Order: sequence, then C-alpha cells, then structure tokens
Amino acid sequence: MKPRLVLGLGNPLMGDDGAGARVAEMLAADSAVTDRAEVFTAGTDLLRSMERIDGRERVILVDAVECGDEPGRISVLDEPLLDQRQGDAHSLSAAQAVELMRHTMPGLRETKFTWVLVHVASVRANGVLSAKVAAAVPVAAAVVKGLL
Amino acid sequence: MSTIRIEHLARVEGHGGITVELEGDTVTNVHFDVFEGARLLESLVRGKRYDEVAPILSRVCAICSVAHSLTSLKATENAFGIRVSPQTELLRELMFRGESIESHALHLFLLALPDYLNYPSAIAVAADKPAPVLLGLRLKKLGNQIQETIGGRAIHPVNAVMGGFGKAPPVEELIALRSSLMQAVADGDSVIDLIASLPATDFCHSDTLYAALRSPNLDAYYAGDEVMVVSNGNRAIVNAADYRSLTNEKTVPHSTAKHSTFRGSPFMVGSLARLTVNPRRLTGKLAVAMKRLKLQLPADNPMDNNKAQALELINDVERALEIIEQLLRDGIKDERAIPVQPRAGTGSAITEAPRGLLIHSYTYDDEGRIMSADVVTPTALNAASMELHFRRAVEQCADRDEAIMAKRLQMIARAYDPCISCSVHLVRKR
Repeated sequence: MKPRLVLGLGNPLMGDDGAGARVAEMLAADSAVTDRAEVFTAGTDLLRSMERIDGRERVILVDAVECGDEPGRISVLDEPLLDQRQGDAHSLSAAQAVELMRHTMPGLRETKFTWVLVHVASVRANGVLSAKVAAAVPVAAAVVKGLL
Repeated sequence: MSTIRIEHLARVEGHGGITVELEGDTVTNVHFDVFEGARLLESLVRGKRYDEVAPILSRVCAICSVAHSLTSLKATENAFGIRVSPQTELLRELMFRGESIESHALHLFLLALPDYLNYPSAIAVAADKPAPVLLGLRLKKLGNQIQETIGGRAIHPVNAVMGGFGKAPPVEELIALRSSLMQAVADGDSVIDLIASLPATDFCHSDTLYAALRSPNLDAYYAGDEVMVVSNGNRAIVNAADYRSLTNEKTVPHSTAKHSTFRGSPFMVGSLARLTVNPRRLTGKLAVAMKRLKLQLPADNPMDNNKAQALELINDVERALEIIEQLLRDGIKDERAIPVQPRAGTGSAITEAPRGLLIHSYTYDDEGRIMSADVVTPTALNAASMELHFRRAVEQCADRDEAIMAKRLQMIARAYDPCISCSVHLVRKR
C-alpha cells in the first residue's frame, strides 16, 4: 500500500489561493510528517495528480475556499459540497476532479479523502497571503499533522 | 419579439453567453456575448526586453501556454532575423503536438461528449459510462507528459528559449515517451469508434470560409508563414506579415473580444479548417477514419469540428511518435541557442494553436524593447463565425422549442472549443 498523501492545492501567484500550497511546503519540511506521508504541492489541476493519488488508502487535500466565512478559519470535511454543473471546465474544481477520478479509477474506490480548507476572503494576483490567511497556514499544517 | 438567452456558457474556458433575438420566426440579432475583462497583456509587455516577452505572454492561457510561448518566440525571432535549427523546429513542433493532444482530449471527452449523451457533465457521464472519460483522461495525460518532457514543465514551458531550445530531453525520457505514444496509437481506434457512435448533429448548415496555416510539410502546427483561406473552391493566401488583412479586427458592443472578417465574411479556424486547407494529410489510416466518421470536406456543418478534432487527435499521436523516432534515430545534438542581436523592426508569426490560428506581432526598438504588441487568438477570430452559425441553427430549427434551440446553440459554441479568456485583448473604443 502506498503511503498517505498530502496535496496542497492552489496558485501561490494568486494571493490567498496559494494557502494550500504554503501549507504543503511547511509540511514537506517537517520530517515528523514526511516519515508518515508523502507531501506535494499540486497546483490548480488535480487531474494532473491522478497517478500520484491512485491506489492510496488516505489522501488529504489542503485548499483555499472562498465562501463568506471569516478569513483564516479552518474547516475539515470528508465530502465537500459538489457543484454538479461543469462550468469553466477546462479546469474542473478540485471536488469535481475527485468525483471524476472516483468514477474512472478502480484504485480510488476505497480511498478516504479528507479536505482541510482554509477560508479566504478574496483571491487576487499579488503573490502574497493576506495576514489572516498567513497566520492560518501553521494552524492548518497542525490540523493536517493531527490527521496523519 | 422573443429572446433566447444563455447567460453563462458552460463547459468552455472563460465566461461568455449567447443572445438570439427573434421577431416571429425571423432572427433579428445574434450575439456571442463575451464579458471577460480586457487582459491588457499587450500593454503589459510594452517596454519589456525581448527575452521577457514570451514568458509573460504565455500567461495569456494555461491551456495553450505552449502555443503562446512558441508563437511569441517565433515573432521575436522573425523581428531579429533569427532562424532556428531544424532540431529546434522539430522539438517545438513536438511541444505543439503534446498541447494539442491534451487540449483535444479534454475538449472531446470532458466538454463536448456530455451533450451528445444527454448528461449535464463529464462527471455524470463517468458515473454511468467511465470508459470514454477514462480514455480522454489517458490521452490528456499523454499530452501533459509530452509537454513536461520536452517543455520542461506542464504549463508555461521553460525550454522554449529565444533562438533555440533550453535543455534537450534525455534519451531515456524520449524512450519512455515513445512507449507511452505507442500505447496511445492503440487508443486511436477507440477514439474513432466512440465519435462514430455518437448521434448525428445535423442541425446547422452554412457555407463556411476556413482559414488555416498552409503547411510546407503537409502537416505542421509550428512551421509556415502563410495562411490559406478556402471558400467554395476559392483560395486566397495571406502572409504572416500581412495578417491584418485577414483579421481586420473591429470592436462590437456586446463583446470584449474583437471580431474578424476576411473581405467582409466571417471565417472559421481550428481543426476543421486545418483539414480543409491541408487535405493531402488525410491519407491511409486517417482517410479510413474520416470515412467512418462520415466527414466530408469542405464541411458545411460546424459540429464537424468535433470529428476533425478526433482525427487530429489520432494524427497528433502518430506525428509525435514519428518525431520522437526521428530524434532517437538522428540523435539529439547539443546545440546552443543562436545569440540574439536586437534590432529595430517588426516581426509577426502565425501558428496553429489547438483551437486554430494564433498570431503574435511585435514592434521592437533598436535596444530590443517592445514598442507595441498585438496578439490575436483563435477564439477571437472565430467569434463572428460562431454568430453566423448560431443564426443559421435558429433559422434552420423547424421546431420552435426554445429549449431545443438553446441546446443546439450551446453545442455549436462548444464545437468551436472556445477559449474565451484568451480571446479578450485590448479594446480601443473609437
């Protein structure tokens, strides 16, 4: 069985959208984490990580979420709400990509996915995290560590 | 008066809509509404040095970053009189093939397919019929692999450098790529089987002008400097330096993408146009597949662009394999990029991005800094043609059911595989 997998999603060039990537970077530098799991940043297209995900018993996805909650709040979900509409579909949302992979990859049928979501207020092309989201990065990293 | 309005066009890249106004049965107005904000990338590169331009302008689009990056380099190289080596041309062509494989696989299997099978999304298709979606994902992955191996990374390739190529791929990686491509050749039959099995989409017919790069080698996305426009047996040639006679861009009130017409008529670019302009490539296995798909050229049905993409998909796989075989056979030379001597002047380049003709044109000062830049994308070139085909589809719909007409309009839009974000560039109001 492959080790547990942590993927940090998002585009660090787009301000707070990079929260998941920053969390992954922090975890990748922690040997207590890397002894127990493989940690990668995965950009904005989760489908590019299909092979990496395939056959895992446990996958933790860390991502930014913009839904009106206080920036910096952390949510942990097993199944995020899935928007069934396929909108700007050259890039499926991460939740849609997981759903698509579940349907097409037998190796994922038993995989347990957990989402660690960092709430953000807005996403802008400025390459830096806002103060509240930056403060939430170590908190989210600790949450992920607790899940491993 | 009645109006058919699609507020948000789903399963395309970017944000756009469709509005059709009717007086009784007469179509009075048709709009392909593009409401993306202007990207202003052409202004962003003004004053930038020649070696900064391609990396910035590739950011126009993550789906076609190879095409933007390499077309940008080609335009600057044309401005400075640089001619890259045959090996660099070959590697660049291979990068184009990888991008095209990824883009076509994604479009056909994840964006267009749900319409034919009456599902709301690829996820819903996958829940019932995983095989075709898996086929698409497998081919998409192959396209990614080519771009990563040759371009240095999956998006915004770092090996695309001025006057040559960055790090040439190691032999063992080419061998791995060859192995993946050989497996994908077998997938070609499945692609054609699937597309041939889809219900006919026989609801829009119109005489259509097609424009595509005239390839010196029958079949190239990168090489070549001439566009051929084909209509009803008539042919016209436009040189890259004279591209404005093809584009004739004008602003329209309902769109932040400009519209183009050739001698007053809308024209279509993309896979169907490429096959129409370069029919000599359709031999052997491709000719058999074309027959199975019941595709006749020149086509009068824009939905045939999906069939053309399927043919290109299998051809791209085979062409990529040929290029790799050639590289392995001839060996990869350790070439240095040609040193750049900036000079004042203008350079224009035309290539074939997955969705059709892509044009970059720059004017440099004598220190090699950009004075002006112009980027014209396939979706902007297609915008007027899309409106023409929307009009024809509504006019030819015997059933006045709005839901049927709306579905057909969306299917036509998706057949063009628009990249709306790319299509928006500087709009000058007069």
